[in-house]
Parts: sequence; structure tokens; C-alpha cells
Amino acid sequence: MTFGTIVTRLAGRKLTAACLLIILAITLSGALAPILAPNDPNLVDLEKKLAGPGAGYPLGTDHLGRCILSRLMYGARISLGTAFLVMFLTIAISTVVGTLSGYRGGTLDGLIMRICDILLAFPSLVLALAVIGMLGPGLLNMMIAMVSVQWAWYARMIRGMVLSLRESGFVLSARVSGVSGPVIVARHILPNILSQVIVLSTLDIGWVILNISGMSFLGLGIQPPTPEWGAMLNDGRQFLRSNPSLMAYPGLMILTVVAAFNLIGDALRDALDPRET
Amino acid sequence: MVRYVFMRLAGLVPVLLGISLVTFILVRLVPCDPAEVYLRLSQIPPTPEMVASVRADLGLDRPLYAQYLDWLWKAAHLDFGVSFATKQPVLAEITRCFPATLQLTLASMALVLLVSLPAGILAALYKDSIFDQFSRLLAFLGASVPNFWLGFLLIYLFSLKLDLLPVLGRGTPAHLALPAATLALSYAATYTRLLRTSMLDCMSADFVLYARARGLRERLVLGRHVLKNALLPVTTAFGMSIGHMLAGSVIVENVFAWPGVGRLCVYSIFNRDYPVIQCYALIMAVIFVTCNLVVDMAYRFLDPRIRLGGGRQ
Repeated sequence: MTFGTIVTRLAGRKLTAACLLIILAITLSGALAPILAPNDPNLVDLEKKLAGPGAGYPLGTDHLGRCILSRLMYGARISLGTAFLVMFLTIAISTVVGTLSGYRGGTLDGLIMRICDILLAFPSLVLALAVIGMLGPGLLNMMIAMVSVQWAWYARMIRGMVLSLRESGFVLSARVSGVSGPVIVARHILPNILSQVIVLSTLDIGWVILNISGMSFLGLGIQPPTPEWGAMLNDGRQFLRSNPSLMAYPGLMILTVVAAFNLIGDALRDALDPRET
Repeated sequence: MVRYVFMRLAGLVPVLLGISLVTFILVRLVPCDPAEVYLRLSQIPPTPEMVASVRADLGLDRPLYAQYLDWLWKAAHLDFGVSFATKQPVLAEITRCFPATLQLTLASMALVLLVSLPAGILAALYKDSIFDQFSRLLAFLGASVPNFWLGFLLIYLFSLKLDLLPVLGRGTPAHLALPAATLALSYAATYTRLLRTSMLDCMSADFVLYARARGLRERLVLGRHVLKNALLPVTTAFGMSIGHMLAGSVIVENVFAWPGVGRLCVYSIFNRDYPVIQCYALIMAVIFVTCNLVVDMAYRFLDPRIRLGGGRQ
């Protein structure tokens, strides 16, 4: 199934189209935050702390007098940007490893798959915590942790796809014609699996966003004062009684984005598998 | 069956060795010298002599394979070293906190069963009813809501507004209610949908049609033929999520200041208490793998189709 067919199928559903629009709007608001945001997200103004919605501050201010809306918009940039980057790195690494493992086979394949088995024997959150624990909290280390947790799963899936394609007619004819291994992989195998892998990875974006915000909430991921939704929630926890909106807005943003990605993921699964209704 | 159990247990050995290797290598990822961290946490200035002495004490000056074998030998005897922060044996620290995590996980599991069993059955029996739609919405929300946010919403509603339950800490069953509910929601939602789908699949199966054709009462058909079969995949998925729940409690424990191993782990990460983090990862992975193995074997025992099929091979 081509990428175009999948997108056409998706756009035909009203709910999925709405989700796509929501994600597009939030992504754009993040990307264009320097232009659209009403204020500097890190500008501290203690005289205006914990102010309600009003002129200049559409959603009010936090405990340091920073504009909540601006922080949410910049937060979209960081939360979504990090999630996409983590997904991209995961797919890049697992495509290389999975293809190598599936196409070369033999001892290398056995070795890579045993490494995957062992990594998959850890609950993903535990392994991520352990990697962050050793490297130390921070954005880069959190990304390394997330990628190191996820790549094994994708590598195994890609290996399976490559294995089934390796014995297919068109690959065998290319091999018989004397085409070299790397060219077969680049010209015949990768184009056949990548669209499916990319589509499947969207299923996991919601999970990645939840984990990134969870880690930042624990103080292990993105560090203050960088505006990130999970870190904003953590900032707001001490004002739960007096100012619950500090926690409500970032939580709603995470919920909306993750829900939209999950709905698109469900629709994608249906689009990829026409037998399911 | 005995042969199968033995083979599976034997298969566990390389996985456990792999897990031990990964957890051992993890500490080698540390960007600074663990001996220096140890000294700083002990409030001792890290002079080169002191660092060298601690490195010798911790065995860090020996070849890597010797360090691994030594660590593995000690780990097999449940000696995971000493916490950098408290100077107590790591295992004592973990076992001190583990009952709290286990209590939270068991309470959540009970809650998941209490909610998802009746809800899944009703959603399947009254397919497309309002109840079914509601369970679908709940499942969808359960998969999307960040549980740290849900925890605070519950605290806000039940503790701060209605003043029904305590906010933080551990002690009475009332303290357990909110953390357990927070941890349980997403699983309860998932299993409700899983049981519904599984029941619907069974309800349209030939053996159910045959049972109905024999004139069995509907209650008997549902109880003996549909539910019994529909519960099989749910049991497997439920068993496999025990490990995930134990590990996933880390965020909930931090929201509710629940004194479990997850909170200990986060605390240790901030303190750079590497032996505790290492032991936490190792124990969680071993529990996870063991749970999956037990579920796998239980599934074989519960489902005669697999048991008999395996027996003939």
C-alpha cells in the first residue's frame, strides 16, 4: 500500500481529519511561537505572578509571572519537536540495524537479535530510568534513553520485513542479474518497507510524548526554566489548591495531542489492514 | 508438561545473564568516576589518593571481565553492594521500599479486575449501547491521559474539594485509594475493551452457535462457553502487565509521595546513587521476565488446545 493511498484513506474520515488538523495547528503554533506568542516565555515578572486571564496574558501568568500561553506554545515546540526527533532517531538506527540483520543473516543476525531480546526483557520505563540514572538528567540524556529503549522493538520488526522481502521474486531477480547487496537494499528493499515503518511509528508518537512529559515531570528530562508541558505541570503542583489552572492547561495540552495521535494511530491501523472494521 | 517447564526455565538462564550484563554495563555509561561520586556523597574531598583508594575498594581498578564476574557472583548471592548515599546494603534499601510498591500494584490490579470484568462483559452483551460507547470513551481517555496529571486531578477533586481522602503518604486504606485508582485507570480501560472484543469474537464462534442449537440456556452458554474462552487472552495480557505496573508505579509514587521503589529510584538518580539504580533495574527486569514466563506457562496450562498440541510435538 502506498503512502498516498494511506493518506487518502485517512483524510476521508471526519474524526481523523479533525485530529490531523489539531496536530497541525499545535505544531504550527509551536513552530511559529516566536512570532505568535504574546510574550517572552521565560520573562519573569513577580509583580504579575499568578494573575488571571487578562489583557496581554490570555491564559494568565504562573508563579513567576511568566505568560502561560506563551509557555504552552513554546512547550509545543519542545514536546513535539523532541518526540519527532526521538522517533526519527529510533527509526534511523533500527532501519540500519534491522536491515543489516535481516539481509546479512548468519552470526550477525543472531547476535543482533539476542541483544534485542535482552533489551526487550526490561520494562521500557525501567530501562529508560536506568539509562537516565547513569547519564544524568537532561534533554539529551532523556532522548538517548528513549531511543535506546525503543530501537530494539523496531529493529526486530524491520528485520522481519526484510527477511520476507529477501526471498521475494524481484529481489531474487536483482540478485541473479548481479546487482550488489547494498544496491538491492537501497533500491529494492528499503523503498518497500519505509512507508510502512513510518506509518507504524506514528502509532507510538503518543506514547513517546507521554514518556517525555512524564520524565520532565519527574525532573529527569527537560530542565526548568525551559517551557515544556511536563515540566510546567511539575512547576504547578505546589499551587494545586490555590491555582489549579497552572496544572490544568499543560495537562490538557498533553491529553489533546496524545489523544489526537492515538486516534490517528487507530485509523492508520484500520487503513493498513482493510479486513478490520 | 514437566519437560516444557524445565526447558522454559533453562531458556531463562541466558536471558537473565543478558539482563545482568546490561545492568553491569549501564554503570560503565556513567560520565564521571563512580569513586569520585562516592567520595562527594560521603562529604570527603576527592583527592587523587582517596579516589585511588576507593577505586580499589569498589574493585574499579580491576579488568572489566573480572569486575563483571565478581559483581555477578555477589549478585547471585543477593549482595548488590552498598548505597552511596545511605551506606546501607542496597538490597536492604530496596526491600524496605518494595512492600509499598507491591501493595500499590496489588491494589491497582484488584481495582482493574473489579472494573474491567463486569464492564467488559456488559459492553459485549450490550454492544453499541450507551454503556458500550462510554466504555470506548473511557478506554480512549485511559490510553491518552498522562497519569501524573490524572493523579493531581483526583487529588484536587477528592482531597482538596470534597475532602474525602488524604492527599499524600501511606498508612491507611484511604491513603491507597487515589494512587491505586490512578495507576489502574489506563489498564482497566484497556482490559475492558480487550474483554469486550474477546467476548464478541467468542459469541460469534461456531461452538457457541452449537451450544445454542443444543438448546442450552443463554446464561449457561455465556458463562461456560463464551466467558471461559474469552477470558484466556485477557488473563495472558493481564499477567504480562504485572511487570509493567510494578515498573509504571514510579510516576504515581512520585505524585502521591508513596514510599515505594519507584520513588527510591528517582531519589537515587538525583543523588547519583548508582548501585541502587543498578539493583532497581536488575530486580525489575527479573520480576518482569519471571512474570511473563509464569503467565506463558499458566496459559499453556489453562488452554487445553495449546497443552495438547504441545504434547504431541
